[in-house]
Amino acid sequence: VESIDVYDFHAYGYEESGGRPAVLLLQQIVNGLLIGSVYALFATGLSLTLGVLRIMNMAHGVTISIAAITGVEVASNFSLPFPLLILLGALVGAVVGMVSEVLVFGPLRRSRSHDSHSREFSTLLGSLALLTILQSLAQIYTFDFTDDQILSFPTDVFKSRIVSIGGIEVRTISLVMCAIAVLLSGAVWWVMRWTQAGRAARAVAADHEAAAMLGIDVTRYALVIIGTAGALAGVAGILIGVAFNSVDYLTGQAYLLRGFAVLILGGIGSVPGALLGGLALGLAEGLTVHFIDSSWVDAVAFGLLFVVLVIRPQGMFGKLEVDRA
Amino acid sequence: MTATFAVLGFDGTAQTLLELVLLNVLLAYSGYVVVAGGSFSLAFVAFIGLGAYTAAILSVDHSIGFLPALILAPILAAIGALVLAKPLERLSGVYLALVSVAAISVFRVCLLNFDSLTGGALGKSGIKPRIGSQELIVGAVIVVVVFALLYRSMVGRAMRLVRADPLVAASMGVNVRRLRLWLFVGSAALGAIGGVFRAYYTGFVVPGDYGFELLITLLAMVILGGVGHWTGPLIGAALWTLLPQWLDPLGLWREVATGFILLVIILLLPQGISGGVANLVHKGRRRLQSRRGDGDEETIALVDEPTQAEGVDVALPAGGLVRSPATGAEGAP
Repeated sequence: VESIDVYDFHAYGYEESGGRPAVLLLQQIVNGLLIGSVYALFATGLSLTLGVLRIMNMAHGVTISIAAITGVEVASNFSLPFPLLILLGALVGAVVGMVSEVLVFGPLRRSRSHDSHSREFSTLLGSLALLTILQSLAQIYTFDFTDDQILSFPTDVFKSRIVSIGGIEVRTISLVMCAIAVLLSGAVWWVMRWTQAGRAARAVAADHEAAAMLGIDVTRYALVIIGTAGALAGVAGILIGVAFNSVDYLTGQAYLLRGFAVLILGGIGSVPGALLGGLALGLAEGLTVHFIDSSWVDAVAFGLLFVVLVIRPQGMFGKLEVDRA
Repeated sequence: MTATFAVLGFDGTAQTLLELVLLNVLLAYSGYVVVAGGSFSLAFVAFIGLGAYTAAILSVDHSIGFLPALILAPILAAIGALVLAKPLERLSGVYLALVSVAAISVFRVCLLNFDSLTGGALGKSGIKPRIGSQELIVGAVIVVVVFALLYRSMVGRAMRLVRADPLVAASMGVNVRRLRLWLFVGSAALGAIGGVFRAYYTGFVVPGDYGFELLITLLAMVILGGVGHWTGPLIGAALWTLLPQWLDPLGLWREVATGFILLVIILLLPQGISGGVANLVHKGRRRLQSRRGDGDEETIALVDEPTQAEGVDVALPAGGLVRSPATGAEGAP
């Protein structure tokens, strides 16, 4: 079984393309955009929870790991078609999100002994506690109940082929991954922009109390928003697991840090921002691999953040938040 | 000391545990400085790493010892913090937290890639001479005493006020931006000192020790102890270091239990342990006062509400503003 990680993904097709610089560059750009679409999918959920509910959810990354591990276990025992596997990922992710809302974020939001600042901080810490719990559970599961600590999907889950267009090689699974990611992010954007529910969610984002006074059930919306974010992360988990063929309890962490990077690039709470930010980050990483070295991928991606922050602190697509003092 | 710990249920590793607690106390105060000022700049972890690596490079490559490193590292970190503060000062809240996390990641990648200087993924080992309990006790005691004094000083009051409400702080003459800048620089310098101690205590440095995990650990300590009182990081660091030892029989489930305990404390004691204790003390004192019937119940009522929200005496300046001539106990900061 071929097992590759994020760095290998950027290097995919590198040797095969015959070493012509222009083709190499194009290959890197394509690879970058493909992986960027997964960043976008993951960051859309992160952006929703942070933008609407003011929750900086550190446990969002581990949702990827949990969904992927569940996916591997189910796929190894039952022959589930790929679309059903994606649904399963979404379901697992949504459950993780909703449980964390019911047990942690909801009680903290309603707590009367917090002012707004300490609430923001307690929420951050609550999500860290959640991360500790969920990550350890995933670790215990993979260490104690599976033969191998690094899991992989059965090869017949998705029979990937390699398509070659003008010397650029792309695996079909990457194309499917990109299509699903862009489609789902687009759907979230459409719901947020054009439906009554999306308008209500944006009202909650602007002011929880005011939204509640207007008759919006903030508790219910919080549950739906976090569930949606979790579902997106769950889908990302399945896609990543199938595309890279390697899943362990730490898989999601790399995406958490990249998700934060995307948030700043795109602007918190902006779904198109998350989409374009994800693609931009993937592209920047691809170009880094091409022009510098794959070991600098993280640094250059985050270095880009500083540049963006100096020019536009609210992100490329965010609206400026007016903050007192 | 060892005997006392043995009574508490520890075996021969008690001294090691005590040393770990002291080390974590040193590191936790670096996080406390920024958090207690109401800021989300979490880049102090990178400065802890900077201090540790400065010590390691000086010791291993140049045979320069502990004390010079203890002077040079905080200076380097302070300069670094001043440079980093420029792009960061326009940000607030979660943006600041996100960028800090990014800064920590960049630092880690730099450690991995400048391997001729930092030793790359393997880090640097053989830092000599190693320090032990004495140095750690001296270091931790000095830091704790400094913070106890700072808490009662004008700067300490300003810090609590800025955290409670930056707008009120600004209206009372606190230069919020400048205060936060100096807290950031101070946190970096203190973090670098903690890093030097850590490098000399463990004898080696590796990039993985100065990343996201250290940030989570230190944040947990600071907030477990409570940011409202100077004893917070002390309590938090001690508990967070000892907790895994007590939970040791649980094996891998230990981490899960640790997470649950943290969660329960966040939900039930939002101001941390020191804040919870301070609230209890405050309530007790208030009950005593009202039983004596001093006739200053109006003032107490005014002081009461923000104190409830913040845990400790951030309300004192406000109490100073509205105090009735009858009591006159507290002045404005």
